[in-house]
Amino acid sequence: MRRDIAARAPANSASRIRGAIAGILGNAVLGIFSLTCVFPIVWMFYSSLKTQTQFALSTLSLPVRPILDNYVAAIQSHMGLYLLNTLRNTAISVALIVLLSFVTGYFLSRFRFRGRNLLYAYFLIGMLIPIHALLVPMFIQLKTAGLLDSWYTLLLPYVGFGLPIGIVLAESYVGGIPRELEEAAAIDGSGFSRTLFTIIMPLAAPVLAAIAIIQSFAVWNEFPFALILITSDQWITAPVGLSTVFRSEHFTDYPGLMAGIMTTMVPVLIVYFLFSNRIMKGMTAGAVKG
Amino acid sequence: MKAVKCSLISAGAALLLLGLSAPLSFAGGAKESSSSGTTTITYMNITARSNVGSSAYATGLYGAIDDYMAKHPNIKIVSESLDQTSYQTKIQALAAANDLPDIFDLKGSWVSIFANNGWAVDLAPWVNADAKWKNGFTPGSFAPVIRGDKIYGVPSQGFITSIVFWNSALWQSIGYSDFPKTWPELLDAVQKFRANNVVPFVMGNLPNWPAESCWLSTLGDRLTGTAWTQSIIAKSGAKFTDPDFVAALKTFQDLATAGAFNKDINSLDVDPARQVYYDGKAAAFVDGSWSISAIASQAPADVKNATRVAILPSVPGGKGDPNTASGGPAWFNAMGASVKDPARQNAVVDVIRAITDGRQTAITASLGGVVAYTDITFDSSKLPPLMVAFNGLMKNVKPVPIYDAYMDAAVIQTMNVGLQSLLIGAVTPEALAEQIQAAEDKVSAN
Repeated sequence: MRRDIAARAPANSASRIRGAIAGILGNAVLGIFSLTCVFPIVWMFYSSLKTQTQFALSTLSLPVRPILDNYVAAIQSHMGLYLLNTLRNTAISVALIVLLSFVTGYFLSRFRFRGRNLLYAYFLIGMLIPIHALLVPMFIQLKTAGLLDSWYTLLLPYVGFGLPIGIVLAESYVGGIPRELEEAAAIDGSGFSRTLFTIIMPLAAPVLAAIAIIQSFAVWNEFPFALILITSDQWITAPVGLSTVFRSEHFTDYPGLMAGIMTTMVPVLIVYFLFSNRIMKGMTAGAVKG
Repeated sequence: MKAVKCSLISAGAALLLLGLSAPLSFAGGAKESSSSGTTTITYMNITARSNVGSSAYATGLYGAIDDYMAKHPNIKIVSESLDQTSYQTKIQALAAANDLPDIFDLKGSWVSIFANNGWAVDLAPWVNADAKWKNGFTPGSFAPVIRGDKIYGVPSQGFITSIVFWNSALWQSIGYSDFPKTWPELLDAVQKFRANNVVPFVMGNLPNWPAESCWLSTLGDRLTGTAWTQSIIAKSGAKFTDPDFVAALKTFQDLATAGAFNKDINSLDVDPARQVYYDGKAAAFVDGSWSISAIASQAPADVKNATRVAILPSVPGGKGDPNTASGGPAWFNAMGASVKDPARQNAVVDVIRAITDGRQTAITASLGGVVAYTDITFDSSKLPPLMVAFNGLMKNVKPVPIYDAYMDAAVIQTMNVGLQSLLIGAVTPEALAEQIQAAEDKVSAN
């Protein structure tokens, strides 16, 4: 961007200076924006190294003598277990959502059959129902079915609530992939399933990545269902764990809470750095811009 | 096309099978084994075990639970703790689904809902049968949970919700060596602090209960007298539109208009408000007795040493006794309606007894917690100095009802939200009084 400005600037020195100032100003504004995004994380990190008293004394100052006690406490308080539960829920639900959305989206996009529009509308309606209205019915349903409070309990609502947006995205994206590719594949002797999974699926990768990213966020942070449907300590997820371990009736242990959040952020950060390129592409694919 | 359908159906079926079979192989470990004759009692509460050591009540509570389980190897108490907001969501969902735990924390203002829907078991037969247990609580402790001759809970801990924590060094600097005894003096101090750019009272009213629970419950009593509050609770004539209550709202609003509070009152949370006081930027704050241990463990030494406790001053023309502060138990241990077997009910009550009587409160009190069951002797040598000062203060102070421990949840909700508007001048005292009365009328009509 700076190069553009410089290139367009006429050769006289006054406007070159003006261009340089504009460049500096532009960068300064962007820099401040970046800082507002990065600072909370930096603040959270160094605050997690403080004692409660130090934090109470000044919320913004750097730790005088950094301590790791909060991390020790976070790990001892089953935070690792909660994190594992969240990881498992996210991995399984997102895989199922991506697979099912792709297949369903493909069918809704490629085939015209009686009831197709009804089916599509049915999936659309799924996006309109507020989750809180379904907490109690969902609880009763899962209780009657004997599916409460287990490792798989949360997968059902997560997949169910993740499908509508996934299907809508996949349906519209598949609509843009030329049919001729499938015809060519058929002529070359490729069967339907093979065409679907080895030719169309890789072409739809950007939208599938977008679905995976959106749903990973949703499942990772999900709170109400995890709160209501899970009772045993062994299946509690990280968001619920964070809100209970570090908060009592009248106090919040902020440094402890921050150590807990930092711990649960690590896997997300690792995944982000590994796939940052793909995530950037995925975020800008499909209908939903992140 | 047929082949397509077949392969899809088989893929779907395989997925379903996978989904169904995996849980079966995993679920085995999670289920309770009942073959050993162990009775499992579930207990849902707002007190996390991770607070043992830092919170007096948590230490007393889990001390009593562990002790009980050690003495009764055939009883297993499984507790689940959540923070207040999450707890409220979950317990109401569980109640609606008729799947409450054996023991759960019941808030005073929820009693009517739980009693009317038959969600909680009447504990009167057990409480009345054990006079020593019943009489060990401070008088009036059971009042919020009594409906007719039924008792729906046993007090878990005592509170005084309205204590003034004031920084004597700062008050000294404007010429007050003691906390004001009358309202005009208080307003005068507010002026002086404002002139010095010090926030007179910092309040974190984001969760909207502090203004009502910590301020209005006591300030209201100063003006209306306790008889009015009792009449509201008993629904025997008093109205929120009565001039005395409107005057209380007006006094509260005038205090805010005079600049007594921080500007971000409705966007500041309770813990950060305490930080403002710790930083010496606020001269005082009004909060519950739970703040005593927070100050003792978190405040910097100079603020901690300068902190004194007091009660709100008297208001001219008020009908109430000026030597009162809102207090009493706000949370109770209740038994879920799904416990029907008499033997199991006995076992559950026995656990409730263990976590509410001297076994819990002796530990809680020795660590500086305020208890409801007071028939105990405990070691007071380790109490923080502020706690000793508080105990001294309370010798001459009578507890009066905390609004949200007694009044109906819907009324309290209207009051709490309305107070947020009142304190920023967005609603007049008269209009708010009418809104609260309308909520009360709606509750009474049902």
